[in-house]
Amino acid sequence: MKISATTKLLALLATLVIVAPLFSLLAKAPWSHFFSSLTDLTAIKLSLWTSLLATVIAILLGVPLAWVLAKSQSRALEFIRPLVLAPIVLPPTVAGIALISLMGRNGLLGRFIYEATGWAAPFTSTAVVLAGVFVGMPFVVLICESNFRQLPKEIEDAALIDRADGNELFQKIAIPQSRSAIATGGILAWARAIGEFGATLMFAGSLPSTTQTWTMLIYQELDINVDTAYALSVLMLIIGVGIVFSLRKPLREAMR
Amino acid sequence: MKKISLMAFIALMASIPNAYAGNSVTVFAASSLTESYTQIGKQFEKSHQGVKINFAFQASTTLAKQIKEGAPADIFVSAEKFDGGSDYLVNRVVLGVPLNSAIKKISDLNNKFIWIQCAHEVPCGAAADAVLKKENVSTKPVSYEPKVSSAVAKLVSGEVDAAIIYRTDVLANSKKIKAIEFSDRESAKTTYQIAQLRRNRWASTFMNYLNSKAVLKILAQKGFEVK
Repeated sequence: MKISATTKLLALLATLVIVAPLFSLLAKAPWSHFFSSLTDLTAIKLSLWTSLLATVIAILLGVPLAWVLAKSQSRALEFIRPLVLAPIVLPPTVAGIALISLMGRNGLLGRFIYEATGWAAPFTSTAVVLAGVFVGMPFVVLICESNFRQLPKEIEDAALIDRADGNELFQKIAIPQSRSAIATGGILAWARAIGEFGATLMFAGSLPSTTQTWTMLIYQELDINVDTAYALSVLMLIIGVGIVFSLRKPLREAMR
Repeated sequence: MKKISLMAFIALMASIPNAYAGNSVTVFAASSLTESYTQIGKQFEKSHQGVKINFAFQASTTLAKQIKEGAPADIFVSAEKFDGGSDYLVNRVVLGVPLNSAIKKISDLNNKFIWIQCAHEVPCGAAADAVLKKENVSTKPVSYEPKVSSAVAKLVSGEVDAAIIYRTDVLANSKKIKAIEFSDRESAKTTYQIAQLRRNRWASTFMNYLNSKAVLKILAQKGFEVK
């Protein structure tokens, strides 16, 4: 099949739209003093542990949800599925307001927690994790559900003939068969959580070592030391490209 | 097909509203001016049919950076002094608290209250740092907000017990919050400066409007000290 010149031109344009800014970021990075620009690693550490914790929670909860979505016949699922996938397309500010209206100290749930314990989620690292789970888990659900649907029917049938119950089928067959999908969903969730900015700022605020995440620090450093902002951004770009590169095979499979 | 997709692309790019369009003025203004300037902009548009005032409200520090990077601002109003700016307004930071707050004086912050201020780099944060030096407050804020409007939003929604914000922010939300003054009124002050960055007819007209008696009167009602 021959690809037309126009299509090739548009493809080149598409590539440039994405690659040109990324290369410019690399070009303008303060390479001569890259590591000395990264004096304070507190925000990076905070982002790493909160996003990893968010990913673990997203997998622990998201995989069972994906299984139910894939296997249950209930008609309610037609309404639940779009709701639980909504954060993928929701603007971060909307996610932030939604989280505050639930978990803020005047929130629907947060109010009772605050009255009973004096503790409220906003301005804590817990809020950063919750925001990460909220924006990240839909990716686990999306990819795992599609994977569970594609499990070979013969395997399931064989397991049922061996009198495996639904739970054994899920735990002993489906999960081991879906390791790659779970990992893919988990890594996408992690990437989304570590890159989260707007919802976290609204819900968690910005305090060094507690809620000031990597992305928040980039935003702040633009006002203080541009070199640091660039160095922090390059580091994130490297991680991002690394993620996509390592996932190129499972992603292609999951998207099928 | 070839032509259609190309034309569609060009049409798409051309339909993106841009700041260079003839009858529009782009104003970069300090976050604390959001409420009053939005109102003033609407009034201007009403009396000048067909002219559009586009505002970008952010922390002044952030806006200054964007302008340095080539952002197409016609007029810049900063909550701190900048090269080429002329004095425009004076505002001052106060401790904003809910109307029924248990906080009666600044030193009450030492009790278990949750409070926030702006980040050190932005004007409202710099002023907060300055006034706190003279106060006997040993607790720390739970968040350093990147601009004053996000601090105000958290106070008004009740997520915090107090926030160091501008007097004008308190007046704009006087149904919910009130102000407690800091003892060092001079350090609490910040001088807003204004400058026209690009010459075009409507930018000059709007610049004059911003300096007019009528607008300065509105700003004075909002709690700004006008020059």
